[in-house]
Amino acid sequence: MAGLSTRVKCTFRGPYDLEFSVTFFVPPGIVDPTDSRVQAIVAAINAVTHAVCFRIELTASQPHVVTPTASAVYVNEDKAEFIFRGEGGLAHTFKVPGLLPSILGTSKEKIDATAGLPLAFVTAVADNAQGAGGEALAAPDFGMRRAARKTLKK
Amino acid sequence: MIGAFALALSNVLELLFEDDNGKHASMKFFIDNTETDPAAGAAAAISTAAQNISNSALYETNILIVAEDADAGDPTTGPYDRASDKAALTFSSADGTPVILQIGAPDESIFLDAWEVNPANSDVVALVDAMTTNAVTQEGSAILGLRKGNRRRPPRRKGQ
Repeated sequence: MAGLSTRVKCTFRGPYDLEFSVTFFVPPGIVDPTDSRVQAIVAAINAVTHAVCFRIELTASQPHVVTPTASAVYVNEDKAEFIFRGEGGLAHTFKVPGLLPSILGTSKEKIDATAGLPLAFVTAVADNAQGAGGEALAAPDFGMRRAARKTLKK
Repeated sequence: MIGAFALALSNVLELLFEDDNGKHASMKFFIDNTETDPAAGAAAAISTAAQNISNSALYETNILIVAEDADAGDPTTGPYDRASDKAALTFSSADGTPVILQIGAPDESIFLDAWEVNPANSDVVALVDAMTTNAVTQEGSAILGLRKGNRRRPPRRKGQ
């Protein structure tokens, strides 16, 4: 089931380098910021403001009907962390929240990313994701469990 | 005046999760700028693989597509040229949902008396036409027309 609309967020720069944004919605088939329909609205807004639009961001959404696992051992504060390497060895870290306990090894800390579901995840990311400049990412052999919680004050 | 908008080198894939406690979390990836369908291609592959190693519910997949204009021109000045000074335009829609555009640094020529937007102003008429022709509500219903428009001043400038 596709989203009912595409969100368009236009960022404007006014005098004194102050910025603001204007948000509106267009039909869901529009996924190009340079589409004539988006540009027509942006041009019309430009005509009624002293600011200028320098950035357009479209958000295409796909909702999913799914239920979280009840009484799960690990919740969203617990992450499966995988560190990919990009150009020049630059780290690209991805943390999957609410990790499945079954993907952890006997230590309950390390994740073997060379088999099973963890391998499928790192393969999907290496094949489909990239660095901001388009550089390829190299998949890691392992991941680690990370808990992001505030420490108790003594 | 607007120049030419150019697509960024990468789009952003955003995955939104919710656990059994109701807490939310998100993940973001850069993907190729030709990937625009959140239900197919790179988005579907990564979403499926991430959900398969998580107990949380992946309830929404978003693709953020960005374009920037490096030659957008210079802003101009006027009596209401601050970003916090707004022209609030309220539109009516087919499903009854009000659609509100809040436009900062509004041009003073669109107002009748410094507070009320002039619906007969040619630029306002053009904006209303652009919205009714091209925009929809968040639920996908048609926008019918302008209901009202007025200026909202920033709180610390109540004397102006």
